Amino acid sequence: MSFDAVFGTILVFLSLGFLLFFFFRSKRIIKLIHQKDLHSAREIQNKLNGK
Amino acid sequence: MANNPLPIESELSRDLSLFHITMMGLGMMIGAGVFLGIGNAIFHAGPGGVILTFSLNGVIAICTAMSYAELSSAIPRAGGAYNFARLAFGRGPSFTAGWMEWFASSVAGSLYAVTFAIYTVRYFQGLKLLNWVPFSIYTTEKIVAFLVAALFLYINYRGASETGKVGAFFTLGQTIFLIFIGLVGIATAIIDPSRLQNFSFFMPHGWDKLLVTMGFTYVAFEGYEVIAQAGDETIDPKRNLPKAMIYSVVIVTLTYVAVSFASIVAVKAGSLGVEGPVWEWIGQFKERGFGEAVSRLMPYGDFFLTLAVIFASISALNATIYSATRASYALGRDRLLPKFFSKISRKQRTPYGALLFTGILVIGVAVLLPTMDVASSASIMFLFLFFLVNVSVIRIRINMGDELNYGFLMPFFPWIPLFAIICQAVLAVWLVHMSPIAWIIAPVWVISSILIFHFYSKKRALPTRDEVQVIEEEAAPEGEGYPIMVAIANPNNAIPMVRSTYYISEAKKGRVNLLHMVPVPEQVPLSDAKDLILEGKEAIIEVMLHLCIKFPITTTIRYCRNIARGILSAVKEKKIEMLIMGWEGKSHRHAFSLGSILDYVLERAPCNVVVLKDLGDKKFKNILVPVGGGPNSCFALEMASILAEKHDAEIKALIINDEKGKIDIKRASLARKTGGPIAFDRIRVKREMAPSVSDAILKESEHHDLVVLGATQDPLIRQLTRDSITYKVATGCDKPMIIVKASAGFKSWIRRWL
Repeated sequence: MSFDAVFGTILVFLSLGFLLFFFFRSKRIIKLIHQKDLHSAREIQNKLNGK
Repeated sequence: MANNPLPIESELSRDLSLFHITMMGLGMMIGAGVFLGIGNAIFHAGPGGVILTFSLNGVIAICTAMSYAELSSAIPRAGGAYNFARLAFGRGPSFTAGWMEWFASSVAGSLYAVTFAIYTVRYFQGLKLLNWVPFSIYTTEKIVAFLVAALFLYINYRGASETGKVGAFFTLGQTIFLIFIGLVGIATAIIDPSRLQNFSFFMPHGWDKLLVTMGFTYVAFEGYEVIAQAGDETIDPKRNLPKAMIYSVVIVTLTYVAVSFASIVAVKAGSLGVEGPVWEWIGQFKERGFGEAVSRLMPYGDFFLTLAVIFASISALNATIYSATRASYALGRDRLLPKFFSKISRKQRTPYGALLFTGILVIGVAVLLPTMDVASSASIMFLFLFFLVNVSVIRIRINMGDELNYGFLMPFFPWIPLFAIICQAVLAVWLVHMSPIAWIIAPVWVISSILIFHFYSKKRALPTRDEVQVIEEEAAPEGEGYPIMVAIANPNNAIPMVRSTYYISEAKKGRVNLLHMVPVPEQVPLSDAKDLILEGKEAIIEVMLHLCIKFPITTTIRYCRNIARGILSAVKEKKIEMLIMGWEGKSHRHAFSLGSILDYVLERAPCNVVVLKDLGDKKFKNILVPVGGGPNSCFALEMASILAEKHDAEIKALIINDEKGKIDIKRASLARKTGGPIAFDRIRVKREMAPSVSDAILKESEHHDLVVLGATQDPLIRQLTRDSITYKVATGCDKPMIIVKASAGFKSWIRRWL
């Protein structure tokens, strides 16, 4: 396999991995916001940062 | 007041579920980009390039989708990018956003009409049913595109707009069909692994071609715009809008990648009619390449694909005409475009003015431009639009994050929108290789929006319900003076601030502007809020009685949605050098350090800020000033000096943990370019080492009757978090206190701009 093919395949899986990571992370954030009844950006940010 | 209509607003019924709006987004995305894009992407970037094109575009798209998700969850109203830009930047940029939105949706509509025409003509040509037609294939496609666009313009005029509920099932069918193609492709590769040899020339034309193919297929990821438009009609929009945006991007990206893979492995090398590498064979058909590949993948593949394209193009065409008409209608309604755009047919109840101009745009672009120029123009315009939305999300989070009610907040802020901005800028620039015509059309359209706004819309635009309005304002007195603004909340906070303000204004030879902001709840139009100003008037009169004898005074009362932003807008407008505010000593909301107004103002004020806590009419003999060596310390010493002169008090400058003796008050004060004198003869310096700076200051404050505290020079975010020294001392000290912050120059300019 050529370098292009190896590098390209890694890039495809990496980008799909990022996509799924953002998907699950976003789901978690939406769940947290609605469970804890958070409102402002600062409140949510503080909660996400564990403060 | 009697003339004003009651503040009752009508709203659409909320009956679109998460499923419906996800399908609406998918319907917009799976319209043409994938059907036209795959063949062209294979032609330009090769077999590996087409898969990378869709997977990398998916990452950029999800970043922008998160921006849309955050903004839509906080502002779930129809209007999409136009609304976001209006809130973030005001009328001018929002007009540009609406103008681009109109064009992008219209051109996307042109693309769907062309896609419909290409696949329909190709199918009937394959059945030899078009032999009687006297035109070339290209001309026939253009005629069909014209007819289908005209038909759907008429359908929109008749008011049969596609609803999410009906379109959802068509979209579900298309999506399932595409997923099925992808699965058949994967199964084919498993059964016959030799087909993976089709990937042996992974990127035959080099990696730079990838940027070109990513650019012109980006139009296949623009569905979150239509989801944002459905904000008024969605059940639980704060939860469902962001979910639908994220879900739809993930679903289309995975589908596109699978379908691209299937189209490469669909053709067996050396099979009937296939000469040379497979990717070259598919690529030569360009827009039709995907169809040719799928027809070899499964029996009746051609027929099913044509059906899918017809349904996809029709539903997407109808939705884009509807969306484009809505965008131009909104501009007409707000008088940013002529009133004709907002004319509604009495019989059909549809905006025929906006529809007429949308029709001219859709048909004109579909008929006059080659297909790839249409796709590139739509992509560039969407890239510009998403660029603006990504900038808006940063600005709105920083400026209004404390007052909006978010249903979703993107992680890794602001890196995600910044990443999207950079990627979209690169893709837009690279599209010049694909279509120089698109790169002429898009900037001309954007520049025309600026010219139309300045020469037409600016004077005619109707005021929005969110703008700050001046209720009462006196003319500024003649003569020079140091401009000081005193923000007054109510009579209770006004009087205790008077004496200190008096001393400071006298020392600075100031002219004082008293400001009272009237916060008006979201539900009440600003024009109906006059009853709320009585308390502010009373406070201002009290203060004037004390100060007007000595100083030139002007007063201002303004309505606003947010007090902090209202104060900053007044400070900026009146070129104020010093802002004086009061603080009751605690924050009512846990998320804020000193309070939602003070936190905001201290972070962004373009001038010196002085915050007074519990000073009243007290006499001070011992003033404590913790000194860290920065500009805020010098400013704190200056304020302490003013009060010390008046009260004949002593100042103790407390320097903590300065092991090497680097902090030199005199040298620091001389280094200042602006600022008043410091009473060095009244200052005693005390140096000490302590494990906790805030504890040491609090302990020392017990022996003093006033603490003057400079805000710390920590990075902006940390400055007012609950970890900061300022917060710990301000909340832990029960003595009268002044918190000061010197103008941060460039840093505060950046914060204000953002």
